[in-house]
Amino acid sequence: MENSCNYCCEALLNIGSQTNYGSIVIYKRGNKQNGWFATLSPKTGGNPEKDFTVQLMPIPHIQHISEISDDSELAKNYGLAFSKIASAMNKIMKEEGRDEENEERVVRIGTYGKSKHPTEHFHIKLFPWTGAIGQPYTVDSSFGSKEIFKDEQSKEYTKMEPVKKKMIEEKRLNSLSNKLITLLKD
Amino acid sequence: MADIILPRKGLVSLDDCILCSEGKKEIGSIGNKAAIIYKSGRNPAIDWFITLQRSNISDPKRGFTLMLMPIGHLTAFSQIHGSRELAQNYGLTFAKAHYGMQVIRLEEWKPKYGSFTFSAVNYGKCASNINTQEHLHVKAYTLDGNANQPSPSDTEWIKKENLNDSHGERYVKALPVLKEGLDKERYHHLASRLIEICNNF
Repeated sequence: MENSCNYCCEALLNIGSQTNYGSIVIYKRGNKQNGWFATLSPKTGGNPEKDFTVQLMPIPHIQHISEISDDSELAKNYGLAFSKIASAMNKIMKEEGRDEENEERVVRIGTYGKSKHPTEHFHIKLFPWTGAIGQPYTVDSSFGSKEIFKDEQSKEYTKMEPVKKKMIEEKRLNSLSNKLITLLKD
Repeated sequence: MADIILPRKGLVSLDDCILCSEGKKEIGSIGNKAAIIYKSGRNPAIDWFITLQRSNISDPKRGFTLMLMPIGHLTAFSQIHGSRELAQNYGLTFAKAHYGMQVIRLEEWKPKYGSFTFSAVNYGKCASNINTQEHLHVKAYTLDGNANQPSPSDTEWIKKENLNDSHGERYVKALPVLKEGLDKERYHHLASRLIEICNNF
């Protein structure tokens, strides 16, 4: 554990506790060597009335995704935590009729995690795949086929939708966290 | 509804799914589009596999993309929760893919690139209409070339300057990426090394 790391400090909190950032701890499994915990963010880059983001983090101060391979229990617990959270999100989104937003009647969930900054505690996000957050990412085929423009300095760029983070209303945040905590109980 | 309910007879590989067919191939099979570098096993109900993708969006001399998929025809992340072993094997396969990727990056790193830092992205979405295959797949890619830029779910994306085009539509700028096939020699070399690394630790 790193005393100066916010996520290491959050890992010590009990389920239901609120972090300094305003996230709510919704899930924990495993121990301080091989465990994971998840928080519900008070903000969303989507529609604050419908969308939400869950962040999954290792309890130990893992800085890079590849370090997960050092401990097979840590790796197994990642799979168990990820699938359990996805299942809980799926249940809530179905309950809220999110599958009725598309012809295929499916719940769409995205996941994104990046290791780039050497001192950062690894974290991976799960979120409803919708709106500006649900637009093609660089690695998607449809991103590669986007129209290319040139700015005044002849530098090439493509146009993408802006994303703005908005606060989720307190009542909804509490209701969501309570539902997630219940669904994620072992 | 059908997408989130596990088939009653358990998970199976489908005959008409490209990714299910890939999952039936042996480790070491190198195709035009992908090479099979790791399989946790052969059971569609619990196992996963990793491919090295021939197409690449990163710097073609340094970058590459791996894809993680279940052997069975899953279409939603929530379905992984249907089996404890399937979920655990996902975690183990995920860890192997990212470990293998960083070993290769370290091996290929040159002083002219600057000091080495571990870097990678893990990204996927289920049931999205922009997925070309409905079979669940997650991509792990290196942050080289124009791939090294924020994505819409990054905090850095939110900090981008908002601009207006001539129609009054708001947008942010992103760097274009070109999908290129890895050079044949590099593709075969990466596949061989990844097979060694991912199957021997």
